[in-house]
Amino acid sequence: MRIFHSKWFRAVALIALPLACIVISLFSGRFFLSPAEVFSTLLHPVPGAAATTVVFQLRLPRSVAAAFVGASLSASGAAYQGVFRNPLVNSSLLGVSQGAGFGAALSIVLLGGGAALYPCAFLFAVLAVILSILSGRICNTNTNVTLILGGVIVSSFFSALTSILKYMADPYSQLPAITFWFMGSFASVGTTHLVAVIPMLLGLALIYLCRWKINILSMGDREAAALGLNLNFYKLLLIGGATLCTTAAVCISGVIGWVGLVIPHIGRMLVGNDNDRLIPVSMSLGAAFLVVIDILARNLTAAELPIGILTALIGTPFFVYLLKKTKGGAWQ
Amino acid sequence: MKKQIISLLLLAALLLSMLSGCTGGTAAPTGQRTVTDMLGRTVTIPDDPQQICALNPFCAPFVVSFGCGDKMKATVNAIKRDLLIQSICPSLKDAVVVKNGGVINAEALLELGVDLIFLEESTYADDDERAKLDALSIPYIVLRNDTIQQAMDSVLLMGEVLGAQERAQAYVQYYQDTLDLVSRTVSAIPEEDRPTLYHSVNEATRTDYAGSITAEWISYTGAKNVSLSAPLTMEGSSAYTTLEQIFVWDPQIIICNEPGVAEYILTDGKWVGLQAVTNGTVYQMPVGITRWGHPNSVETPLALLWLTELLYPEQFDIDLAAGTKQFYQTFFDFELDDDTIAAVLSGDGMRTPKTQSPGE
Amino acid sequence: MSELLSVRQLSCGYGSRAVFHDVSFSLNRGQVLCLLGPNGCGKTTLLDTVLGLKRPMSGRVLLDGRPVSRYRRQELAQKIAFVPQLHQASFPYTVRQVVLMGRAAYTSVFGSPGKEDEEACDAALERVGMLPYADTPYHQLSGGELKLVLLARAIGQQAPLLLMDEPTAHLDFRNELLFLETVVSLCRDEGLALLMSTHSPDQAFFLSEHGLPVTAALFAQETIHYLGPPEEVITPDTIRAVYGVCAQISSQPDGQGGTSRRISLSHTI
Repeated sequence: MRIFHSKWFRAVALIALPLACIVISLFSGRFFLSPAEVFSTLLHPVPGAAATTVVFQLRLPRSVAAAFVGASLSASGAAYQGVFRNPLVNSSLLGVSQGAGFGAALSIVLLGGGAALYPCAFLFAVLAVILSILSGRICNTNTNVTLILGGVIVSSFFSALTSILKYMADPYSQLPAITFWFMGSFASVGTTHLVAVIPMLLGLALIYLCRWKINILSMGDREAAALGLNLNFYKLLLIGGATLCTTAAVCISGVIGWVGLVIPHIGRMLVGNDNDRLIPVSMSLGAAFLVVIDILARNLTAAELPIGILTALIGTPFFVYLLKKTKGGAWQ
Repeated sequence: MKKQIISLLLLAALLLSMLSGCTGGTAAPTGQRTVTDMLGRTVTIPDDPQQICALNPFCAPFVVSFGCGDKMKATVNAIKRDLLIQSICPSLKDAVVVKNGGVINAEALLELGVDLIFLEESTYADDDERAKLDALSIPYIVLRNDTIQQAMDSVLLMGEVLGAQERAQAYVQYYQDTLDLVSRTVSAIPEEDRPTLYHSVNEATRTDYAGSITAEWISYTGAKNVSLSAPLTMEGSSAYTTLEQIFVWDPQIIICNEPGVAEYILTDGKWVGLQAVTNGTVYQMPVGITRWGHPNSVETPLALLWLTELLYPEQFDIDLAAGTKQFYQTFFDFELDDDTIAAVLSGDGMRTPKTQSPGE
Repeated sequence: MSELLSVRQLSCGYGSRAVFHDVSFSLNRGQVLCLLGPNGCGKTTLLDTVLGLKRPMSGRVLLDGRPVSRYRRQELAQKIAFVPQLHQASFPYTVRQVVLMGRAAYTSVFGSPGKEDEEACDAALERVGMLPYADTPYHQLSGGELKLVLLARAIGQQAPLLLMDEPTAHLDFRNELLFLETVVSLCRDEGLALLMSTHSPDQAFFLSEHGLPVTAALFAQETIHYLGPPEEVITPDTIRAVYGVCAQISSQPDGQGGTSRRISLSHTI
């Protein structure tokens, strides 16, 4: 049984879990393919065959995207919680989601969506974060509270702007596109969307590399500085990384709530609060969770269910169960 | 003698109304009359409405067709984007958009002095909007076009309200004749020659649902509309399916009402392997005053002809270009040149305003 | 060889208002300096300035002959370990995880603590007698235990200079004594320099009586007005000048050949 406690076993298990879920996802969907057909398609893809498209163009990119989005939202949620010393913070703090949503809506209304949509969403998400930080600094105290307040202000500002855009949008073609974008879905993910994996990988790498420093940042600025941490450097890397992650995730799948808040807490209950372990576990759990949720979203009904509804519906009972089982994981 | 004169006068009045619709009435409205709208409401309206507000996108082209385009002072955004109808009726450029996101700007209606409103059922169903309209005491008529019959009835009602009964009757007759023509053709087509078909409505994965008017008219062509048999995700009155579900259906033919979607389907890697993509049987539907495949289209009879010819070119040999030209001539008094006809049929019509004069 | 810590003509404050000015003192390995003064006299501000968290209005703080402002944060943490007065509990880390944070001074930019760090951390916990609690969530500890854990964290930092801000505030008698005894043995065995602020002049006496070379620094009139061995500078007169209270200093043999001094307050003036 020693093997279960070895570092290597844990690392392999954390990587294997979402990978296994992705593999399972290749076998499930509305289009009937026997396991043998999936295997033969995987080993010898026939160009132009429906099975090849379904496996490689529909299921694989979708699941890979879901895995990255899940990992990104969870890891950035955990990072934000640590950096802002607030367990209730989630990855859409600092106006990322609203900024991205506005950017997407703007490109739909002004440019007809298309290729400009994702860069536009990304741009405005980053802008929202910068504005949040700036407006959080107005009162010159640069505390985490004013930063969070800045996020709230900027969020509502961008959501108001989005409302104006919705008002201006053509109700027959643009408005549905905007609404659909805000719903959160992996339905339209294709191989081209996987470009967004690059910022997510970058963000995940930053969070992963700085993960232990989150522990120290969560002790508060004064102590963290006394413990030898360059606060601005690590806050920049962590908030920047988390923002890259969240923004790219929002760009791929629209706004998916819940994951960034609750997956890190499930992680805390399982392995404790040490970010050295919590961050990898959150990434792995988040990735696996969203892939599983997406499998359900595709299969429960012929019509696709919005991810956000499922994450809350399935995640919440599980969260309550864990809460009871672990007595809150030493939370008091 | 007296009887004869009265008959002559009646005939003259009839002819006048035929020729000019309601544009003939320059005199100030004096009388009022009552009509029954599509919900069975009795509405008292002016004899000769002068300031019309079309909040129902289906009805707006008919207001133009019935000669009242210059009286359409307010409308919804969709009509303002239709370039062809703006060429037909330039005054539409000045029409005010008074409804957005389901909310009507009541003060704008008052400001414009609107004396008649055409409404969608969904707006009427919204309690707040209805209360607002009721408070304005501007008469409003609710039109419906969820089925072909409703669409025909709505057209006739509009004809009655706008004093263009003849043209409305002509349109409905044309609609019915087209249905009959297509039905006759299709009845001779063996079941196995009727292909399976997927209809993309605006977006690639938005499609027809059982009970929609698009599903109804497509059924006349005998095509087996794949999306009617499966559960869909409804958002308002829009129905969505998934790409993987389309792979399950693997339709023989895909038609797309929105410009660009057919090209997207043919070129995007996610659609590779569908027989329609492999065979190149993914088609862009024509776009004229409206997108022909749209539920609110005024050109639905033309769409029927287009699709029937597409499906059975051997058995249904018509000159669609000539038919199209005649349609706009008959119902919109507008002569389309051959380039514009070609643009309409290729689906580019709405996007490239070829009918606009230079400098406009 | 220059002094470990040298504070020269230091003035600090907020905005344009100085809290104190012209403060000078120095501290070497094995020595203790106790900052005494009423609330708001600038003890914490002085500690923050030494820690490099606050910029002085004028004057210099030199650490091994180099201004603290010229140190990188991590270098500074290898020289100065800090035990805060108040700690706002954050996530329920285990005691070991908290003590490991002291090793941030030695971990690489993107690193996490390794085996060596865990050993140093366990040794530090052992030193303060908290090793049995290593896996306890730290927010379940009592105030005294928490202080010892924070002390262990500072020990794990392996810095020659220890800074403590009123370390025994809110502790009961036993915990206060336990803490001070641990500090005494640390300074004596490891040769650490200790700069601490304290509300209690008795602590200066206590450390001195336990064989440490203690200097008491008393704040008055916006500067360190009295600086010297506690038995010389802590007198009824200076207490009266600093705190505005009347007090007596009683002294009696401590039974080991020395004298034990204690302050007893009588009334305010």
